[in-house]
Amino acid sequence: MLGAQIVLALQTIITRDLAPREPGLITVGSFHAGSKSNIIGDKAVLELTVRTESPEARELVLKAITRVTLNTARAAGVADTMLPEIKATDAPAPPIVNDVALSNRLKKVWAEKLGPGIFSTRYKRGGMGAEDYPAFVNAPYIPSVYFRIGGTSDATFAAADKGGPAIAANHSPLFHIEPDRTIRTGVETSVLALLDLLRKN
Amino acid sequence: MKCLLLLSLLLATAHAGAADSELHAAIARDYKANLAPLFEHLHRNPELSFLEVNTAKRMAQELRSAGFEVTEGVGGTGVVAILKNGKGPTVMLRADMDGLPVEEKSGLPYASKVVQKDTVGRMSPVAHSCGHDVHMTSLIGTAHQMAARRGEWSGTLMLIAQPAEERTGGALAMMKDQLWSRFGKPDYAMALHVSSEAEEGKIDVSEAPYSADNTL
Repeated sequence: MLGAQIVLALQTIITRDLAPREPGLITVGSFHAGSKSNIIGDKAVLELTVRTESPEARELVLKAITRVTLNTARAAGVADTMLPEIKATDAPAPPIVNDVALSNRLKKVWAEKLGPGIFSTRYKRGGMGAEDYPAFVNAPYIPSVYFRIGGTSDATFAAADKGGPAIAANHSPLFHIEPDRTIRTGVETSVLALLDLLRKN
Repeated sequence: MKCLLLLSLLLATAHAGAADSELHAAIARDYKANLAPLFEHLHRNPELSFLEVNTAKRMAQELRSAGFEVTEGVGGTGVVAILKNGKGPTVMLRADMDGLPVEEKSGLPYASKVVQKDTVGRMSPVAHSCGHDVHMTSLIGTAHQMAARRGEWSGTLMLIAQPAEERTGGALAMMKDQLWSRFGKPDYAMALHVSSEAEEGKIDVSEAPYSADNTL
């Protein structure tokens, strides 16, 4: 019961604590409790993924998770000696921020060499995926560009537009891309960027 | 006005076409001969985060064949490949090696049927449902072209195949394994990532492509 209440209460951190236009996400990806229908369990284990886009938002959300979890437990009458334990698991990952000067330089190279049509018009960043790539470039700082390459055919998009099967996102069991053009584009854009950065003087 | 615009557009396209049709053709040949079978192999044989043993072996072998100086076992299964080519900056390009604990339902003829024991001893299906096989194959294709064009550039190229991107720990593990002090700190770095939400053959470069992650 308490576990379920905590799961719901955590969502109000995103909707009621964070500023409405500051992105934030809490997903309780895993919830394990109990063994049998007529035995009241005494333990629940919740695994959370938290996504934010500023250090202030991250601090606010992590603090709020502790506040909401402990106080929801207290409201249910849990003794101070038995309050939920909250601990970090997988290594945290900072957001990726592309180096502006490098980004502009490479966009120019790609536009010149491959034409302005190389840039996707469909892509809209709607999700809050995370990456551990920043560990390479944040400290010490290395100017870096992290870019996306598209993998879905026009035919698949057209079908989805007409109400056909939705495009399976990354991480879905249904995920698939067209490897031929996708990989060749990956190679071509990488090589053009590298030839520019490593150009002979 | 319209005439001038059209003319300069035609000239620009012609110039771009001439400059890169050779590269484009070389990549197409390499894809047919080498990259397509490599991709299929990687897609059929995904491995979980921190357990990318065979994937790393294959990446090391491909990079050595391409003429790079290769070091394995960095940060666990990580691979670092270096091509020194005279004076100039060091540029790093990264690919990730791990698959996801997901049962592939793509319907593809080369779909993964792999089940692997994970780091806590559970049997788990595995699939490259995030496209890391694309990144790895693209890295090898890039290695081939850069090695073939040594006369066109100067500096050091560092290609990295990292473990455990999905568990946000692989990059950190490589850094903790003295990555820059052992191999030199790059002056620039790049990484690409495939997205099913964008059109094949196109790219997206935004200022802030990814959020911060905390797991509790």
